[in-house]
Amino acid sequence: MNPGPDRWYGWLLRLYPRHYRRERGPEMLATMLDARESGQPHRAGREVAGLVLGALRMRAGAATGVSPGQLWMSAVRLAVLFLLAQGTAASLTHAGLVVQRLVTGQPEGISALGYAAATTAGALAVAAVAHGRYLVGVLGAAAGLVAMQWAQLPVWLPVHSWLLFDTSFHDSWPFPLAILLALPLLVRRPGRAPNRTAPDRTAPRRPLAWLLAVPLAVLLLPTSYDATLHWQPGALYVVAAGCLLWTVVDARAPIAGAALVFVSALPLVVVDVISTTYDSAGKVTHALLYAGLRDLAVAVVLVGIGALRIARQARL
Amino acid sequence: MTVSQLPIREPTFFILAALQEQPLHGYAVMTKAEELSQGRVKLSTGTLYAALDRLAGEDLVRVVDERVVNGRARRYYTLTATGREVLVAEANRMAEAASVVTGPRTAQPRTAQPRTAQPRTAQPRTARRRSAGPGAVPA
Repeated sequence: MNPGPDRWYGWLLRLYPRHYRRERGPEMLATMLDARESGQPHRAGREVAGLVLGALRMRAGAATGVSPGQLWMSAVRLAVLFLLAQGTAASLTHAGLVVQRLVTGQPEGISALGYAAATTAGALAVAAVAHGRYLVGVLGAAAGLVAMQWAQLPVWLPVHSWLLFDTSFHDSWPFPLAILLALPLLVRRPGRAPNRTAPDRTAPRRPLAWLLAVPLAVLLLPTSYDATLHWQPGALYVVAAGCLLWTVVDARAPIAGAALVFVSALPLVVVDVISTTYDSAGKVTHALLYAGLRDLAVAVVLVGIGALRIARQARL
Repeated sequence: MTVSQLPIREPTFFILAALQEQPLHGYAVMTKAEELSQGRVKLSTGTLYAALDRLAGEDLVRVVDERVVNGRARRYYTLTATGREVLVAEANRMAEAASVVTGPRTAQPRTAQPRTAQPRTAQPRTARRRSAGPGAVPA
């Protein structure tokens, strides 16, 4: 037996956040029942699509009608959260490797504790930024960066071996980039127009959800764990494609995706510029540079798409 | 929202236009916007309420009445003075653009004169009742 339309619409309304459902639910249900009784069969599919999209936008904090500047700041906040999650995932991976070595009886220096400290500081930074405490987030990311560098002390020399063979070099970039991107947030908080007293509409606070993103980042983003999985760079491109698809819901997603691609491309370019790499036949190769430039191009395209979508979403 | 932020999107324009004569509830706004746009703007409930939230946040529309009719919750929305100003400014902008093609005689820019009700002041119920149609605030 099929459920009645009011029950079916009630289920769909459950996609919206509870506070919104309490405020708008009965009114929206009445409007949907009116529309259904108008005898326009073409409305049914549109109603479902509109509700699902509206609910996803509401849950993602993808508010429309704020100025482009505010939407950009909100996109930067999202990018900072992505980068902090990646940085924390990277240090968590190293901390896991340290534990594995200790369990198997291999000696570890005291500096290896730096990875655990970096993970803790990174998690603190993720929670702080998700909660809108940007200064605490910046300080946490800085502490994570310092702890990460301290943990890598034994491999600092010789420099070239560190650059080329130690994956810690590639894992060290998300924290500093997150700090750089977070600096404007200290001056201009996202989601609040100067003359608006309403609550922040573009930055829902979900520290726990963002902390849960860290283990996901271990699997999907470039970390040392990929030495086991060998999912990269495919997994990163899947994440970037996901951000692109999510543009339908939230114009800020490609900007955040671009930050992830950028931070994985930059070390490749830097390594190629400051050192010489050789292929298996002993010839000088610039494969890293080409891979880095390819990823940088992907990041630029994502930023371009995000800019267009932000301009559109900001229109009333 | 200020007039300098024009142009506005077509669905937004027709939602504001639907409310220019009298306060309407959600479903009436949907049907009126579809009628005024000659079927081009077909709003779903999700889209409509996202737009109304946005417009209320920008102080372009406001709720004037809430009641339960036949067991269904109704909120009635009306244009604010700012909403009317934005609507007229957008209409003038489009008329000026159209006049480039159709000639100035067919497009006369209007000023922001309310056509019927003043949204920010209390109105006598008799005046509202005279103009009330389907979906308008019942007496």
